[in-house]
Amino acid sequence: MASPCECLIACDDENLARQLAELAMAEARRIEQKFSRYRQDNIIYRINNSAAEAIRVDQETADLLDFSAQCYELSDGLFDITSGVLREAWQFDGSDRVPQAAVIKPLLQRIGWPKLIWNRPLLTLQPGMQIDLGGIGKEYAVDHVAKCLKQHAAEVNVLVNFGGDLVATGPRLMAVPWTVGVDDPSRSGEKAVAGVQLSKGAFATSGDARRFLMKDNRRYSHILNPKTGWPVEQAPRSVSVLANTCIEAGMLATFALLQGKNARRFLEEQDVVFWICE
Amino acid sequence: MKSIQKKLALATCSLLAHNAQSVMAAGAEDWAVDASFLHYEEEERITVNKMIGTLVTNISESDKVKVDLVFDTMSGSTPSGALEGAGSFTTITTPSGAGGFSASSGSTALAEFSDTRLGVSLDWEHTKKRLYRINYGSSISVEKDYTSFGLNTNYAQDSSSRIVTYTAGVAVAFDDVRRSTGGTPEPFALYGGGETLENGTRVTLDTIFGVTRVFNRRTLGQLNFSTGFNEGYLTDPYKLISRTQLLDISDPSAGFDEKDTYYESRPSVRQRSSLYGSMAHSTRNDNVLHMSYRYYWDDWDIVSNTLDFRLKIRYENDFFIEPHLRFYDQTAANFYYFAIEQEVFGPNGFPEYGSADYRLDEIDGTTLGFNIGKTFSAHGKLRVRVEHIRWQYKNSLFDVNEALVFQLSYKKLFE
Repeated sequence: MASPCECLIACDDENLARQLAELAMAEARRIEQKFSRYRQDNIIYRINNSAAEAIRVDQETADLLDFSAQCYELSDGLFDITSGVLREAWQFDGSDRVPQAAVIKPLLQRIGWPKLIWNRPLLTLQPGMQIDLGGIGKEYAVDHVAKCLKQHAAEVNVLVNFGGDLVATGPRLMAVPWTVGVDDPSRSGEKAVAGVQLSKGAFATSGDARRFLMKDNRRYSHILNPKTGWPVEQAPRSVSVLANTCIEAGMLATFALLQGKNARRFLEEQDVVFWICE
Repeated sequence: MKSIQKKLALATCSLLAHNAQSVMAAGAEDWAVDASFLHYEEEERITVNKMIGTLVTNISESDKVKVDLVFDTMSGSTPSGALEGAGSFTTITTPSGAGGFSASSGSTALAEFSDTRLGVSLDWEHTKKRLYRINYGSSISVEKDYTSFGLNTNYAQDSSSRIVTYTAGVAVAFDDVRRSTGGTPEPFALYGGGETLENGTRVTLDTIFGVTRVFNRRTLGQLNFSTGFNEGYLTDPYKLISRTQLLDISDPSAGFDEKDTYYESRPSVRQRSSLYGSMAHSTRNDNVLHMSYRYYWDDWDIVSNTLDFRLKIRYENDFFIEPHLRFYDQTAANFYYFAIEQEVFGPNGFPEYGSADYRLDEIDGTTLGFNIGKTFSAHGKLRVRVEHIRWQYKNSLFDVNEALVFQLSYKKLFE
């Protein structure tokens, strides 16, 4: 998951806690291996190297593709799992290497969910297209692991936190809620902008705390608009959302960032609690 | 800008729900066995002991096979429709027999019986592209006096958003009905007389159309319409009907005398339809409220309403208790008679059809019961069901019937 992952288990049975921890690790590892774009032995690699051939995908992948399709529609095309090819032009390493427009334009030909053919369970990409479930994978893993733990031991509540995206399945022992700090992106890891008491629910943060470009005093956020190929302008530095599931929270936070300066208005329209760091 | 939060919540809900089945269960739920014992007992009437075994196995990622085996033993006595031996007739003040007397055993008013039934059914469900499911089923049921063979198929399709599921199904059954000694009695022949006719055969065709919709992450609704018919021998070869004559024509309350007893006679077609709606809502603490209503009507003029409530209350340690309440009422069939009254039909006349089967009378029924269940591990579930049912018959010799149902089930998953 490329970030610290923790799992807090509210239980006084050490054996059970160990079992749950192992289950959580196994599931997290399985999801990472299955959907990571950095591996060459998984379904994502097969899809991205399919040379326009139809690939038959398993149920879990198909469910995530269905969900991606819905996210594409709900975000009016701003959330697009085919936008990863923009990485060929943009490298957000804190430097000032902003790409030329001439480099970006041809990439747009290879982006766009409607250009691929998704006829469950068969997926066919156009030549040069790629998909990347990175924008969903971590939040999905959080909810999924929490669900697995709950199914294994319904009476034990857990808090699953993968790199700041988290879900709590219920309060701690003695009905004490979990305390979650919201990171201040300008002083990441040092200062919290808010403390949240969470008994049950999920919390996710999207932002560009460490990933951006600076050129001519202009900050280029790593949030790219798949329609233009350029960073979303005036996007907040980070958005945190509280929701029922981690995927929901994560998607709302991401959709909000993609709205740029309208992020706050977007979140106000939704029935959720949120924090924005400008 | 619009609120997309609800739609997103629904999409998330279906993503996570589907995965609970596929990923967790992949490999884990290779096959499941459900064994159950049911005891049904009517006070001084029928007793049924039923053993049910179900085996479900995934033969591939998209194919599931289910085999059901049912073995019943039934014994006791049931009202035949006749009035003979129903005590001293002059004590009956109204045809409804509201006095609530009981008939002496050995009379024709109660028919003793004892039978066993063996039923086998086989179902195959095939999932296509996760959005389509098709189910094929077949069943055979054999008793001394009844054989049934059925085939059915069901098709379900989810909308692309998975918020709505449409279903359509058709079922056909072929039955052979006879007395345990073989053949069927001649309709309206004198009890014990008449010719013995061939076994009765009938065909049943049913169709069902349904829509299930997810309203929000906690609420699910369903609407079904079903329609079908039975054609052939729909008479019950054991049921009887009496002819009565009032003791004093100027004073019906003086009682009546039973003149004769005949075998009953029913129409050979029955066209049935029903509309069913249900709603399941899961509360914040994961309790589940389930409500349903069914409206049924047929061309025998039976109209019925069924209202059903269940509330599943979950406790810690995977324990639940589910109280259950059901109200049922139906109107009488248009050929239902308490008896063939001589004053109406004459000493030798008959209605076109006539039955005194209490199940075709006007009925009010109430069921009160509960389910309790406990999950021991990911692989074992125990369930107990207890129900008390009370029926009130408006115009039958026996005006009340009560039954107790007890069921014990154990389900186990094997890897």
